[in-house]
Amino acid sequence: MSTGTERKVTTEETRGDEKSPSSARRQWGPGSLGMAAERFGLPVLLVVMAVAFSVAMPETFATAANWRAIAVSESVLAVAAMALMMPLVAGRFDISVGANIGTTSIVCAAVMSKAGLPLAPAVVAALLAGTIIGTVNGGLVAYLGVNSIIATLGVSIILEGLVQAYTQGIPISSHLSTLLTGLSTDLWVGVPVLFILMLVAACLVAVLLNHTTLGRQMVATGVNETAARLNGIATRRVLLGSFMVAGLLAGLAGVLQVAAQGNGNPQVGGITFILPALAAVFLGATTLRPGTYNVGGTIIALFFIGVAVSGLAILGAQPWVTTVFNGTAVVVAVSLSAIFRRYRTGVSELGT
Amino acid sequence: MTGVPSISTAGGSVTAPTPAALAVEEVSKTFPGGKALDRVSFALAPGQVHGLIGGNGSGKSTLVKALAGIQPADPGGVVRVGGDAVDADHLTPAWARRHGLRFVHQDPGMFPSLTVAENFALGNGYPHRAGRLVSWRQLRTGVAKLLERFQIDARPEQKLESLRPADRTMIAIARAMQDRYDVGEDAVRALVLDEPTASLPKGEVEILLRAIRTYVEDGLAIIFISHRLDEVRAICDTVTVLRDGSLVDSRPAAGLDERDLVRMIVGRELERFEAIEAAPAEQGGRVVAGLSGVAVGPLHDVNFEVRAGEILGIAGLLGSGRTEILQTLFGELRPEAGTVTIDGAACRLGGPAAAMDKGIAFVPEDRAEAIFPSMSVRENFSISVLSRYSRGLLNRVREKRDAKLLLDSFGVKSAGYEIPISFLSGGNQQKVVLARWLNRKPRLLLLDEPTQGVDVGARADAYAIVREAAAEGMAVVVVSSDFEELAELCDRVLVLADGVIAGETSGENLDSAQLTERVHTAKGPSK
Repeated sequence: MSTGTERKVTTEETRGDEKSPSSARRQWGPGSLGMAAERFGLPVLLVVMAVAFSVAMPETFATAANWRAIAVSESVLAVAAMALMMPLVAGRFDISVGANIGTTSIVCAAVMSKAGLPLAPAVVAALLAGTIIGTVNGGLVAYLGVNSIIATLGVSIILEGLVQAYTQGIPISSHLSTLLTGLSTDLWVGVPVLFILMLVAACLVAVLLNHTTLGRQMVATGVNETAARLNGIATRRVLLGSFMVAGLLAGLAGVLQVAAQGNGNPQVGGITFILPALAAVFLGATTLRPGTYNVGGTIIALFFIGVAVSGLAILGAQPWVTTVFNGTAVVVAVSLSAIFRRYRTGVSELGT
Repeated sequence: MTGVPSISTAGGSVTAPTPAALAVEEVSKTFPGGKALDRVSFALAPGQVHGLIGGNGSGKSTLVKALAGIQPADPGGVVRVGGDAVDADHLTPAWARRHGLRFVHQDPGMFPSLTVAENFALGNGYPHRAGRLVSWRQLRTGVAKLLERFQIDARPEQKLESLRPADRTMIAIARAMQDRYDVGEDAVRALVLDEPTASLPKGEVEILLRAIRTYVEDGLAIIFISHRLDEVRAICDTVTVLRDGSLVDSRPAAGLDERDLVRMIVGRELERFEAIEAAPAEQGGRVVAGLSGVAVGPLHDVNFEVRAGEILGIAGLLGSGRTEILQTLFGELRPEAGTVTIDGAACRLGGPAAAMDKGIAFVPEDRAEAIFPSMSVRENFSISVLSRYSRGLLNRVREKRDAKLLLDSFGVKSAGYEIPISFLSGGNQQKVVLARWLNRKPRLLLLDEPTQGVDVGARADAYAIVREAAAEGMAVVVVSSDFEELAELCDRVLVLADGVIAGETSGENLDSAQLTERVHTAKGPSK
């Protein structure tokens, strides 16, 4: 009897092994229904959810003011998400993006407020500071071979400490350029200027990833580092580059953060701040161009999360609901992208 | 279930008076491509070392996988271990283990950074004290006893990586045999050693072989798989030879010399091989690259040159250093001694990028090191020539045009160039990799097992592609364990043994049978 059962189990296993990849391939083949659902599921879901909230709360949710509020607050996070995306594309993690934004927003505010300089040098200083932080991260990861999560976590904590030491925990809100702080309410053809700036940045990042050698080499390094090296790609330099771009984008997010909030706030930064952005990067990798981190998908995912959180808040949900929602979004997004990736390539791995 | 009853013979009543330690009866295995094993039968008695030999694709690995229950055989065969029998198609890993079959695979699942004791425990379980705490003392003393019994020169608390290779292999074997001493002789009746010497340096092989002889003294039976016929002759009592999935013969080893074994492996009488160095066919091509006096890894004095338009093969056993030759030419390995010459000048290659600048291309053995699975076919083509498209921004129009051209000219079967390369079959993925490199118009192409896991049609295409490129003046170095491939594709084949080029064949002498003999019997200069 026992041999009989054993036989059945083994044959079933073998059959499963042989069939599952090919059937998955068929199901997820180019042009298939499954693929279309995967690609456009999230954008459709975003529209459906927005319509549902609007119908449910026409007086509060479906107002221009609320949409602008969502657009402004998500714009900073969208740039943060792009920063997170750079090392992820190359197969690494940058936890320090949140702390980098916190630091550079303080740098930007302090240059105007404490040093009394105009807006332009403040922006340059913030971008420079962000890039330097990114260079340190990249050096640790690419040339010393430190695990990227650990290295950037350490850098992140150092930055938070330095910010506290410099500000003593007090926000910098005096003598800021009104040109900058006015951005939070400025509109261009009815659209918040901050949102437009974010879109410009998104286009530049998309060009970098899809239309430059560095971008292509970053993707190749992230997909298969050994193969990248064997194809003559200087993987270390590429990794350093990805962290530097991440730092630059974090610096930009820092500037936009001052614009959106109207001050340099030492409480900004850290993991919870970038959590929605992190969720958006992973969720974005399951849509539009599934299996690849992509800018369009990331922005759609971010607004999906933003609209959900805003709707829930207007419905009267407690603040903790937002936190739990954001955390859940990360876990679900990472799981989804892992599942989809396994279907596509037969292996599941994400950034280390 | 036809014919052969599935029995557990309680009285061991059936055939032999003394039951064989392990008997294989009429075992077959059919793959979609054909029969990998065709009604193979043989038996080995307790206390014997039994050699299992055959060329590539002869069915050795398939047989081992069937015995281990990893890949069950077709219905109809029977496997007996001691007094117990099982239908070959019902054999599971659990059955094999329960009835005293143990395996030491080529990659035996050892943990170099853990201690000897932990390596034992991870194979067979940690001893526990009350409360499920690991009893380290019990583990250490138990392992110390085993090391003494097996005369392994190691202490339980030593890191595995600090031991010499032969001792590491002996520990893998000891781990597999452990139950014989802890539980009883019936707990381990037969042990299968799959190429245990392949990765050992020459000096260490003898230590291991001597040890293996002692293991069978108390009645254990061992199946010893090796490509090295001198080893087989040195320690085996009986030998089973497989060819193309069929049993050639199973008989005592005494009286067989290496030539007899080669004849059985190859399947026909060979002309007495003339050990003259066949003069390299001077094709008039200028020398593109070469190694002189190179030592790295298992290689210690390798000299050869490859000419423009020539397809040069390298034949050698697993662990002979054949891959290292290619890696050295591609700047992946830096020679410990000797020089790489490119165009007649000594050349220090700093890495793959430097080698590529010199016009060298490398297709690695493992396709996982060559393809970018989730990237499109187009991106997989262009990755090695990105600078060609870059003037600030990548010229994607040209990139797409070239991708279409490459798809067509290399006959890649793919639903367009925008789908991920992982959607393609293995053979077509390999064509993409070849196309990627040939698109660079290299002067020297290095191929490591170019058609492993590639179907017959794609294989022929790949040969045609390589030949055509060589005809246009490219030099090619091919490493392959498939001797028919080398014979078919190459103008000249070097035989690698004991870290040196031990021979060379070309012209009429170049066929797979000759190569099989030369590779299995080749020896380097005695020290």
